[in-house]
Amino acid sequence: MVYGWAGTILRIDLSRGKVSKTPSSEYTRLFIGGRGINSKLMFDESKPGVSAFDPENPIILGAGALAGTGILGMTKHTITTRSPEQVPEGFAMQCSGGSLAAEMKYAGYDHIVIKGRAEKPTYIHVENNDTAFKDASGLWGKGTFDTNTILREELNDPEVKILAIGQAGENLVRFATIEHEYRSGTGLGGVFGAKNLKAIAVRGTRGIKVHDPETVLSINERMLETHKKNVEELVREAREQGKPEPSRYDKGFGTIGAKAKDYFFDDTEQGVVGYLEGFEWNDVDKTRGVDWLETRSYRDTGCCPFACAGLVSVPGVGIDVMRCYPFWNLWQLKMTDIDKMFEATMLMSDYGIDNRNLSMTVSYLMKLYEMGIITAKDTDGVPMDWGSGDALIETVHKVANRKGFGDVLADGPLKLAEKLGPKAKKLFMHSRGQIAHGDERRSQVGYALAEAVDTHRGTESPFHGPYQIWERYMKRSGQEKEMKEAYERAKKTFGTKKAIIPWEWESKPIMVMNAQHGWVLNDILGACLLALDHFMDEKSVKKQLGTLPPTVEPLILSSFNAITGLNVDEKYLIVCAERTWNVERAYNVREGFTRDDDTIAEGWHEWPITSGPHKGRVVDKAKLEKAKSELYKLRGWDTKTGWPTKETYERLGLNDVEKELRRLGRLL
Amino acid sequence: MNKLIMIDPDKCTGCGQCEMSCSLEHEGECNPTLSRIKIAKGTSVFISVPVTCLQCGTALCMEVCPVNAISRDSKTGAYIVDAERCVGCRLCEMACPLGAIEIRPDKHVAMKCDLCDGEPMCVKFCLPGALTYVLEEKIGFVRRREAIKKLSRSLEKITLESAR
Repeated sequence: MVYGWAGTILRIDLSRGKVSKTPSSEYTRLFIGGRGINSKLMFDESKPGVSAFDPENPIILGAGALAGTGILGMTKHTITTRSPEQVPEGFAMQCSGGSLAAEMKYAGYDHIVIKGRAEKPTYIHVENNDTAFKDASGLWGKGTFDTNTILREELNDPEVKILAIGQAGENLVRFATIEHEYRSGTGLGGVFGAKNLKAIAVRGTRGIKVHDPETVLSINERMLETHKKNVEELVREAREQGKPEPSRYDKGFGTIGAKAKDYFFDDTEQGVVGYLEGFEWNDVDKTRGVDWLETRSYRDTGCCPFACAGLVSVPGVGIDVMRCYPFWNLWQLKMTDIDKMFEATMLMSDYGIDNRNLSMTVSYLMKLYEMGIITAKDTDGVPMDWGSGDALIETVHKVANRKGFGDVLADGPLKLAEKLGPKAKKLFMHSRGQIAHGDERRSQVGYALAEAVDTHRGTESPFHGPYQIWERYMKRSGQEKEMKEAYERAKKTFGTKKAIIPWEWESKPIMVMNAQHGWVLNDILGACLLALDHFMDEKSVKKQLGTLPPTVEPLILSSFNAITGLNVDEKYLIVCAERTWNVERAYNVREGFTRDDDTIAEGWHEWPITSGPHKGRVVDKAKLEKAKSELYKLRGWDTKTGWPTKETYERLGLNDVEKELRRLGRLL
Repeated sequence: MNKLIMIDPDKCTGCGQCEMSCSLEHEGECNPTLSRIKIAKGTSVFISVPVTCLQCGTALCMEVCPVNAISRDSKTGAYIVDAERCVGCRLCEMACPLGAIEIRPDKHVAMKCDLCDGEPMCVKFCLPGALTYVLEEKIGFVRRREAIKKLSRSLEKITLESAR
């Protein structure tokens, strides 16, 4: 009896209209599921040098190993393929929440591998044992909202779970997204488009066997109690600090991103305004999403009971989920009109465009416009004034439909920067072709290191921000006692209190490695970071400050064992995460990537923060290189090439990967 | 006086935790198809309403059952299916105005909410509060209180402002 897994990998060949099935048990011991098995499948199923839009480039869906088992917050699926937005192209994945992961497993599949190219626009309907290829000619040219509605009606099944692309994916926009319910991520939509694949709709009515359901329910109960305690703590703290009673949005309901202004500007002071400039901006208070939600929040929704995805209703615009990242975009574009930002976000969800990427690019254009490097002529008459929501919306339309300058931008912001001339190109901040986004690196060198060595680009790089200490905030909020304790713990754990100071380099490599393993493990199991934050007592920031972040939550470990009936320890799970990370690295090594590709955008090194408490900080290049070497050593990678060594592959049981890389001469 | 599961559709987020908890409790597996509470969805992914047995005053399922397989639990007041007696004739399924009782596909017997012997798992794990377990006679009171919450908040605000 298999507990926890559905048991099957579904393989779909769009060129020949054929499906086949193989057992997932071939992969589960070494890679467990989700991102883990996805990454190994990606390595096994693709040939080096095959471009992202080539029919032979596989796109792989993987359900988190614990999704569909009833444990709270296990809602994530991973999509893995080769990135069309990186220059040069490399490994890419996105891990999003929603109901797809569970539904895939209820249908009987842990993973779905899609290859080939359909002759005409097609969508795939998977229902339990049956997979059908259906004509999507009528859907081609439609946005993701309409596609979802039409598919539900056509299939006469409101319960069907859908991944779909909009016009941007069809038009092979390099940063188009695959949209699912509440979230999208890295620009993988073009891969669907290149395969003539409009959508995949999944429905399953079978269950997942759980080894010890009683323990699962009691674990859930404990998680809810913890959540209640955390909320009570929040209320108590606010009272002690003389702040007003926290609203439900302060408690994280509605849209979690709404709290961004408070966290990034008031507490940790790491917000960035404009095109990665400074911290100070008079209008920043107007971007407080928590206030905005008071009048705009319509209904809570989400994939777990925590309901982080708030439905928002804006008169004259519509009703949709307000995502998190638009609140960052407000600062980047110096916009204060949140309604307008919502309108743009909704449009991007409908077209299927990565809003993080595009908004940052518009911020870049606004900077160029301000400096006089470009005029409205360069952007088809659209004046790129700071704060202009219309400029953003116009750009969205142009990119999705490949009109005017949008046609160039659709091939990637780097292409547009090149076209705008050397002056503009010099100001374009990117790593591997992807525009740097507005999470501050200069005051947080751990994030800089995490991004440089990440196996993919485009989403947040794993690093545990909360385990760092923001001294000014702690002093302001009267937490000096906690701060002292944290420093003591840091001295004990790392030998220096600098380890938990965000802009100091000490001990960052080991912290980054731990964080990477923790994140990958979450993606393997399908665990939502946000839900973990709320449901896990061991996540308590105060308790963990100054120690190494726990890579496996004790409750997650007991969930895994209760569900699967296996009796594994923490080390097993961590090694699976490490193995996954190395396979992803091996994919890029096979493509020819080396240490030199482990970079962050030049601007982080060259442009100091222009205002605020961290004025003048940059990421020191030499120190970053030193930290990289240290991290490579910890991982068992060659410091000169950045390739995992023979011993590392052998230690992790990746002998087949090692053999392949030796054959290609990419092994020392 | 019995307690009932009260449903507030406005608060349902559609996460499906009620279905998962129900099937884990009753079937030992995670399987929404075998859950006694089901979330009904509209074509928009954002509309979701949990549907389960509301333990009717006149239980049509019980009335129409030709083999007397449905009876009322004296402790909780829940209508309970005796799976041994049930012949899977589907009359209850047809009679129920809500679709809250159905013939399970694997065993061909009726299944419905049994209120988990007085501690409904779906309610326990409904963090958004769309499901609550309330004394029958209090339901109207609770609904009214919810309904006027917004009004009383505005009134309070106006009173405070005018006092200033």
